[in-house]
Amino acid sequence: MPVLTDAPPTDLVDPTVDDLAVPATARELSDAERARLFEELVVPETDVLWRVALSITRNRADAEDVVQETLLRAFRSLGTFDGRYPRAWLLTILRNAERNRHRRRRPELLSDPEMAEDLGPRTESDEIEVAAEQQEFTDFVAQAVEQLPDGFREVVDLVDINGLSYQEAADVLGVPIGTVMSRLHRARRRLRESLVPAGFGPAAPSELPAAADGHDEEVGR
Amino acid sequence: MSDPTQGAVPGGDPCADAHVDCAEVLRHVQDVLDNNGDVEVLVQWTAHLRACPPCGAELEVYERITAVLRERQCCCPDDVAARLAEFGRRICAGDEPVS
Ligand SMILES: [Zn+2]
Repeated sequence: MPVLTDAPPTDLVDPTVDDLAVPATARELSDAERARLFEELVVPETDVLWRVALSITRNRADAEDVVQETLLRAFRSLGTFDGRYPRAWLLTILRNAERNRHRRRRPELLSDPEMAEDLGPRTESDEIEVAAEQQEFTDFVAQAVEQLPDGFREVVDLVDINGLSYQEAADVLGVPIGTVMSRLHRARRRLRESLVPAGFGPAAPSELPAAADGHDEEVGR
Repeated sequence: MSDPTQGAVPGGDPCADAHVDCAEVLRHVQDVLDNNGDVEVLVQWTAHLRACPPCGAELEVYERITAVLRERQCCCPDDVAARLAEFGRRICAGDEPVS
């Protein structure tokens, strides 16, 4: 059993190195240490990685592929990772894995019915009317999110649904944090405005000007 | 809040306090939602949102949307989690799949 050390590897810490650029044989980590680091830094993030992958790929089979590729790349690049902010590191790897993946769009899976699996009715009590209204609201918002352009839907999915920070979403999307914020705010504003004609919310106060931002890049794909 | 004459909003807006007006607060309602930005300014905006029903209602709309979205988070299903865990164990055992 090799001696395991908590000290970060001092070699191979060039952050510019692509996570696949260095062959595994070039690492100084022992197999046991690599496995331990994998268990400690990577495995606990698997659930987040899967949810993020699902947000991006929009279907479960692709999400699983992307996570597997991410796990593999992470394992291979553990020797160059300094151990700080493993989630940010993994999200960046995930982004690269997704980008390099052979992309087959499967439009019939874009609206995965399983995504809406837990939207059934909830209560039969006296508060059924309130519950029904809430359910309608929930369904409406879910549908409105699906109708957002991809770039908007993605940030809503990552930040509001999956709880990533602005920075984490920026890592996984490969865009500046300001872009994430701008897209998120514009996306939410669209959701908010869509409530009005559907009768779910008051009209937005008229004095509110359109959100000004300097990140008016295209958000569709 | 210490000097009520500074930054006073003209026009007799019932919601206006000494430092902020409705338009400003409404522009930044999502920053309040996300607790994003300078703490001192956030405190001012939040105070306004509490005191001004129309602005407060706008924040509530956004809160209701994000509350619904938060509930839509799904966990990695057990079977997928099991397969990924097995995949990880194979990687660690040196049994790397050809990708
Ligand atoms: Zn106001």
